Amino acid sequence: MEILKINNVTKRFGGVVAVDQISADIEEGMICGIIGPNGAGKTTLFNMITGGYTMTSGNISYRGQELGNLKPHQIHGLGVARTFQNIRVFPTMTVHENVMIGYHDKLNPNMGKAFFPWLSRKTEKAMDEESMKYLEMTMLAGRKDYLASSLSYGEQRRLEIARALISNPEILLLDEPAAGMNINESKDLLKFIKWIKTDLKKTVIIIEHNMKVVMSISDRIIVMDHGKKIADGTPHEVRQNPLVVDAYLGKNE
Amino acid sequence: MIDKMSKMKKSFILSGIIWAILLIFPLVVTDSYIVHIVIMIGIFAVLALGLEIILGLTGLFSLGHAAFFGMGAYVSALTTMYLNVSFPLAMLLSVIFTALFGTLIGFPALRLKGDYLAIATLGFGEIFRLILINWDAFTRGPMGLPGIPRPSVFGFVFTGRIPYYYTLLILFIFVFYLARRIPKTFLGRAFKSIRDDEDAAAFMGINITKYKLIAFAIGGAYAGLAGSFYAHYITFISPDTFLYQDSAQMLAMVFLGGAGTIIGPVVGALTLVLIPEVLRFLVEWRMLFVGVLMVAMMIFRPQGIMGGGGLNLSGFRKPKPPVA
Repeated sequence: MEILKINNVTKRFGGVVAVDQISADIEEGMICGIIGPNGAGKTTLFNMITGGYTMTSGNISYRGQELGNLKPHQIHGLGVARTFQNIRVFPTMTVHENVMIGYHDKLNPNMGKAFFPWLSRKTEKAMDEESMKYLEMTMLAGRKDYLASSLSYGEQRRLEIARALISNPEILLLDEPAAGMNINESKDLLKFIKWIKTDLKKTVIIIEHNMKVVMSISDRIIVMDHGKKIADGTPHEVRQNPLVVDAYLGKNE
Repeated sequence: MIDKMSKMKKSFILSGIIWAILLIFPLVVTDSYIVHIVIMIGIFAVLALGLEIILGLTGLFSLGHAAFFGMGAYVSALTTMYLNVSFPLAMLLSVIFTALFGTLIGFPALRLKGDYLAIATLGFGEIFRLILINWDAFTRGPMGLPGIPRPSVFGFVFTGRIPYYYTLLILFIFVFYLARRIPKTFLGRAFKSIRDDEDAAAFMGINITKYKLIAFAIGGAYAGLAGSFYAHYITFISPDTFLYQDSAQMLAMVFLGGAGTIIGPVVGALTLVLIPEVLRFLVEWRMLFVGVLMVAMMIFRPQGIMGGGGLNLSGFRKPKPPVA
């Protein structure tokens, strides 16, 4: 069953067409890889799914619900969470606080709770317990009181994933999660992403430059170039596609 | 761990001593001039705490804080003078009114960031002042409002400084407690996430519109409270009391004390009210000295007196990396 339907989506920035009539239906429970050269429009597509940009035309629906007019926090509330290509943890907050932010909208916080300790105790306790669960999952529990900015690159990436997972999303969008990681770190990350799919039963959409990474975990791969979708299929099919070979290796004159 | 415990114990004892001194202060020090200075420090501390929530916690640059202060003062003065409302009720009305107005002023904040927001709030402060001056039928314009009735609570009329002092102390304990509490709750975390990275916060499910408005409402309410108290304490207010330069002074208190901490703005208020008084012997040179002090602070300790983990005289540490 399709969980996310992307239908003829276009995004223009002035004269530049960043995303050009992309259509794709993402099925539930799969890992879908999006690859393409720099500037292909992959992150722009992510930004439209999560409400950061408004589409120039087309529409995106999640379980039949149109996402076009929703604000980012509303889309997050529906169950679509993401990470960022250039790491965006909250630098002056602790690791623990960072993760709790992801759980914020699940507990229906209101003003009264903030002012009176006896009202907020339950909410705070739930946030604390839930966030520890996800910090342990991402092996960051020992770092919980560190400032997020003091973590290493790989740890910050994991923190972003924990912050996205805590809201218990149905779709997890990962924007180049392995960028800047060494071989061992990215191997662990791959295992973790597979585990997210099999054990947590999430749908994962992943943007990745590293072909090895993306080929080994994706059930399906969408290839973009200059805003257009040039190939769509299993890793094996995509690898054989002459258009993909051209886009990545250059045309054979 | 043991080190942390003893540190906590120390700060607990220290704060206990400070509160105890504050409790008996006007009974021991009978010089009414000194008590007056302490009351002014208290008023500015409340103002700086309100600005801290808008600026220090949520990262919204507001240069119109004096307008909230003035609004609280005028609402309180006018309701007691024209409607014969009692002092506690007038204070409550001021707080509600400034909180609502804070929300209204928050609306431009939804679209503007950084410097642009600062300019917009600056404009708001000027508009407020011009309304006070030109709407003379209601506000008596530049002549101000003299003879604001002294507060009376349950038939007890305030005379001398002492009842004012204790009223302010009670109010201060309340607002200080609240300001201390907010950063430890989800509300404070939402504020801080907006300060750190507004867009990322929105993607993580924080309704940034709502929380920016809440920040302005709380900050406005603090200023309204201070304004109401000020009006009934001084018993005379005029548009000249609530100028841009007062907004700038409150901003300086927050930064001098340490933006992002709660004790910082209080220390900032203490410093900036006290120093000009202590330096009165320098006559016209004293403001120059204050200026030099501010410049030196920003060079050698840009995170503020209490910024970056509390007072640390053992060495001037480098500032934290700027928040992108």
